[in-house]
Amino acid sequence: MTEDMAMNATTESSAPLDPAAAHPVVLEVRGLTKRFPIGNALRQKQVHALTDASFSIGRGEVVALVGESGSGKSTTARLITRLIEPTHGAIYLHGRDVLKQEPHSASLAYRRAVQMIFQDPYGSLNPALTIGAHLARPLQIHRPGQNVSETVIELLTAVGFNPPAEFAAKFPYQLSGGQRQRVAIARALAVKPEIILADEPVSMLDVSIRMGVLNLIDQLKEERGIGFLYITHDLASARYIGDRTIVMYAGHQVECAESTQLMSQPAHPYTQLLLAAVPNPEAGLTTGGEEARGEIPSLIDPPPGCPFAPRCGHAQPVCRQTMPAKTLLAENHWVRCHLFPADSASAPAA
Amino acid sequence: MNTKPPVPEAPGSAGGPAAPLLEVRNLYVEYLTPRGPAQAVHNVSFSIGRGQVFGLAGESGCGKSTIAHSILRVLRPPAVITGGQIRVDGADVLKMQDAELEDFRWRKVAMVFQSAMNSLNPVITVGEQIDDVLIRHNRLSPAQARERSAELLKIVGIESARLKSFPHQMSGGMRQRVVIAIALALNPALLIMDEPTTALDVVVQKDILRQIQQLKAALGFSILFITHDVSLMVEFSDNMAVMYAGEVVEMAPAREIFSNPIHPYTRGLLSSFPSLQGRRRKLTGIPGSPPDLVNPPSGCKFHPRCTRCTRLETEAAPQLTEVTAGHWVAYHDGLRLTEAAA
Repeated sequence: MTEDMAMNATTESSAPLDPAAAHPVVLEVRGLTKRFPIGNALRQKQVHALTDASFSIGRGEVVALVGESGSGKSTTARLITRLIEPTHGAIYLHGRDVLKQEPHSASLAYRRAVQMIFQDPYGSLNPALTIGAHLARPLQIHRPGQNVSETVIELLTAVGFNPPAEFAAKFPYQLSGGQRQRVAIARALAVKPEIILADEPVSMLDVSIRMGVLNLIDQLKEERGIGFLYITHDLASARYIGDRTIVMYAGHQVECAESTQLMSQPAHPYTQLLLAAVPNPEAGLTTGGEEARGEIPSLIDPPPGCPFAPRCGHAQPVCRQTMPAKTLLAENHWVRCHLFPADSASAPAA
Repeated sequence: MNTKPPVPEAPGSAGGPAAPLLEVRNLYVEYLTPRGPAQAVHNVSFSIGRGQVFGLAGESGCGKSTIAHSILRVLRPPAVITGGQIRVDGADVLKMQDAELEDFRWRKVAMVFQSAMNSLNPVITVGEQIDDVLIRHNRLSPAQARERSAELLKIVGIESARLKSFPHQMSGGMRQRVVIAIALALNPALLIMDEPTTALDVVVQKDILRQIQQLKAALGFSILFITHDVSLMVEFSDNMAVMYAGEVVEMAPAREIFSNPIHPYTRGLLSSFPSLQGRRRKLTGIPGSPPDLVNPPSGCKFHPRCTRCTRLETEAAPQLTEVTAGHWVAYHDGLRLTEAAA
């Protein structure tokens, strides 16, 4: 740990990279919006779960989506898998407008390209089926004609099971949480996806085995060029494996930057609040900096303006009237906040 | 087996009353499973001084919640306490009869459970739930109880109009505050908090812990703080113990554990948390998974996952040893220790 602290003292050193060149875009969403109707015929209301989400995921890129519960992270993933349909917005896979071309339900090809890993490895595996059967099923559906048992062994080896044949015969209850999550990853890998949506893949795992699963994701991105959407509430892990991080608040994307840049120079007051709230053993509880009382606002028919304005120490009248547009602060770093008006784009915050 | 019970003096409490508020000595708890007894807590000793926060860190299944339940005497079969002593304010908790326990629970020791969602009754208002405690234990009239309930909500930062709310009408953070208000209803000397903020968002978590710290300063209770989040524990606790497979492997002032961890498990745990600053480094966590407590490994229970151990660890269980003042580590001898720390 002492060497860790020495590391902390050293300055930022992350290789500058141009994400467009390093990671050709595989999946892109534009203006993705989801509203859930609630109430009865007389009092129609809407939950604004996600508003105007736009981003892309490149080949071999991990995009981290961070925010508190109810911020719209999981809704984003569920829209991309097309488990639910968006109210507005478009999804492009290799530039192809998926919602236009496959309006009713996603094609098998889309489902093969975009896979998902769920948070709870205890709920996402069928207790009555062996691990082998879990991996064989997607192979039979998506890749018929394959030598299934051979591929199952390959998959189990790829996610670090040894000896693989022995694990293929086991049932989920015989595995630990970390092992189950590896099975879930292997199941996603079975169909050779281009994008994996990972919704809080380690938050239910024991601390000591979380890093193993995160390192596996990192390895798959490097070796197979898979793009990941890593959904988490944990900023430190977003920084650990995320090439870029998008911060969400109350259904809105409020800031996006290369992960190390975002954590060292957060621009949005909410990002700053979130970073200040992360436990910091060196500073202790008392030094808090930003004090923002209150909680995430209701998403039911919210008032206009920035959703963070009621808790924000810098709120001006304009914040309660209009949602700010994206302002580019630096290359690959944008923020949606009236503190950074669009015309100051040429002068990024130092 | 001669085990010196390691009961470190709580640093900083030298001026206070000599006897600690809580003393756990050589506690053993077993779960009687069909495959044989599982040693959930194995020879655990620690103490908490008045006004102190003591942290128990470790992963799921390491025995931290079992210890909390033992202190309140709410363990249910198949769990049985097979040995040891628990003293709160000098009274021997394990010898208490039912009538004594009724007076002891909540008045001396109260507990905040992990999931506020599940520890509040969904079909009655939060006001009635706070009243309940006061009417039952303090024999207040309903009107007096309601008045005190409003006061309690106020000290955890909720307006008294919320007494009439049902749990589902409140956010997760508010519900957890209500649970804390109920725990503080009888002014307990010891508050046990079992993963009190794990289900909450970081911003709310920080808010609540700050508030508890202020309440502790005002009301003077002690805290047994249980969490798997070591950084949070270091931030919040005075002293802490790290547990693995039912045993304490390291115990020291929290800052000492953070800046000078010695046991390989503690080191592994601390290096399982990526940093928010500095260079991005590859972290390994700890390979393998926690052991089966029915058939625990021989010697040091951590040895199958440990990269530093020798044949000594695989054969003989190490004893907790005080390496520097107040810093206890389960290790074999001082020589190996200095070598490991180097």
